[in-house]
Parts: sequence; structure tokens; C-alpha cells
Amino acid sequence: MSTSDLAAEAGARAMDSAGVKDVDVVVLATTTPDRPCPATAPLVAHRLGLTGRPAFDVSAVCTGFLYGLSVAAGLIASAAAEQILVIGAEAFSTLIDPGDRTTGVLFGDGAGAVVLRAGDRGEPGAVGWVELGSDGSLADIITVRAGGSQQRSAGEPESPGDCYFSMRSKEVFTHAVRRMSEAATTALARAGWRPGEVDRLVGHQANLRILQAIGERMDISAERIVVHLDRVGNTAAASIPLALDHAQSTGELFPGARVILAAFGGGATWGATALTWPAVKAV
Amino acid sequence: MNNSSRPSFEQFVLIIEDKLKIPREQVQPETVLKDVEIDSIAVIEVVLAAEKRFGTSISMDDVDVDGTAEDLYQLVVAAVGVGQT
Repeated sequence: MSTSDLAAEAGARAMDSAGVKDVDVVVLATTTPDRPCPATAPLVAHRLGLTGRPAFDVSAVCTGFLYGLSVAAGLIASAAAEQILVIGAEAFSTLIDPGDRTTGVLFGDGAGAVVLRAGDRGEPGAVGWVELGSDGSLADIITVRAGGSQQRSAGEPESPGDCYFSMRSKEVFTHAVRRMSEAATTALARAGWRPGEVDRLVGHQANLRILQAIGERMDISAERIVVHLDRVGNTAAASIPLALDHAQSTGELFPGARVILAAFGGGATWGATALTWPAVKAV
Repeated sequence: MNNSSRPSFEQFVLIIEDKLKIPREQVQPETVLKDVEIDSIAVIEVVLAAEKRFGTSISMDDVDVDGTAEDLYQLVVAAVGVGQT
């Protein structure tokens, strides 16, 4: 099953939930496009009956969904679009070295999607400021070395393992806790909320200890941290929308709930935003 | 450095006890971290908790799970000291 398969299914469900048969733009956050070229979003749009709509991929690994949300919100705010389908989808199993036990048991495949529409700033579900950042000096801590222009243009021979995903766990842990905490704190301040007013922290589902450390750093108690990785693993760009769907289905997210979304990913990249959860139709 | 706010070893060990549930009696200055099952990620968790507790930023470059509790404590003290000069 490829990323476009997963993305199309999630996109269809999101549109059904939103009660729409058309959108103006399709934004697909993914680390695992069907092919290096072209982007996968146009194929997903085509499969959803949206041929002709602008469609593009956003590549920010585990922060991809927040980057995609920010871009979509900007397009709507600039009146370039009224409704945008934002999908986070991964077939991360295709990057994993089956012999590497440090990564093989951690990652999963999946997809989640939302429909973002034009509305009022104060409405539940409004996406306001999205705190985003990057640090390219950390490119090697989360990476797949082969398959891109860097090795090919330098004429570097591909080493065994270069085609697989690799991660420096200790550095990722440290940077993830710090950056997600900082970004989420900024998002809180922008929303004018105190940590005690947050109903749920929906963090990128990489590691439970990371989430717990962030909660402690921000004075957000453990029971208010959404945990979904025990069911689906780390699904990179699909992580946050899958966690949102899970929390919605269990009642952890309810209309009016104050939610912080936060992520850290390859790039390195990071992001966070605060929003009030809307009423969502289950499908 | 303001010695009145220099973290004590006892305060540091309390972080380990609280965070990792390792009884404080088991963590002496000469205790090798990995000998009390403090792995590389647990060390990072302790350092991050110490950052918040003492209001400082601590470099992970010198953190070593093969070191002792005293080694880690001195990193925390040094970071707090730098923050206050």
C-alpha cells in the first residue's frame, strides 16, 4: 500500500466528515511520496475526483502536518482558496531497514486528513498563528541519505544502509523536547492561554518519554497528553491527524476543548499551534 | 556565581528520584549512572528536568552515561553558574 492509497482514503473520509464534495486545494504532507518525482498530491487529488485543483506536497517529516496546516491557513487568509484538504500520509515502512531494531519497531504507516475552510477568527477550529522553525545543521539526525541529488551530483557511491532511514535517538530526544516545548509555549502565549487552561496536548507521537518530558516542562499534566503511539507507532507526518482522530473518537477532544498541537521532525523542523476543537462529524 | 542559589547535590538527586523513581539512597556522588540503570535517554531526561528546576540551559555535549552522578551534578552546577555571571 503506497502513500497515495492511504492519503486518498483519509482525504475521502475527511471530506465526508466535513460534508463537502469539492475543495480548492490539496496539500499533502509526506516524507514518503509514491515517487521522488512527481509530487504525490496531484495523484491523490485525481483519485478524489479533484483533477485540476492545485495540489502539492509539503516535506517536513514529522512536522509536515503542521507546516501543511500553516500553508493552507495562509492560502485561505489570502483569499486564494475557500476550502483546503490537508492530509498527512506516510508509508514509512518502505524506508525502514528490516534488520535495524532501533527503528524497525518504532514506525508505522498511516494517514489522517482535515478540511480547512474559511471562517471567523474566533470560531472553534480556527487555525491562527502556527509557530514554525527549522535548523538545517541537524540534517543528519533524521535522514535517508540516498536517492537525492546530493549523493548523485557528488558521484558518491551509495553505502549499504544509505537507502534506509536512520536516526540519532539521543540528539532527537533532546532537540524534540526543547523545540516542541518552546514552540508550544509560544503558541500558548499567542493564544493567551495558561498551561492550566489546556485541555489536551496533541504532540507528534514519536516517543512516550518525549511527550512526558514536554508535559513536565510545560506544567501540562500527564492525563492531558494524548497518547496514540502505542496503537500505531510513529507515523511521521500522519502522526498528529491520526492522534486527533483517535482523541476525537475517545472523547478526549470535545467541542470547545483547548488543544495544543506540537511536533519536531527531520530537517530539523518543528512547529506548534493552539486551537479550539470544533464539532466534528464522525465517519 | 551566586553561591546561595547553587544547586545542592541533594536537590540534584531529588530530580533523579522524582523523574526516574530511583531511591535517593542509591545515588551517591561516586555512583556510576549506568550502574543504577540510568541509560542514555534517562540521563537526557534528568538534564532536561534539571534545566527546568534550576532555570538554566545545559549542553548535552559533555553528558556521559559512563560517568558518575557527581560528574553530571557538576555539569548542572556549571550551567547554573554560567547563567548567573
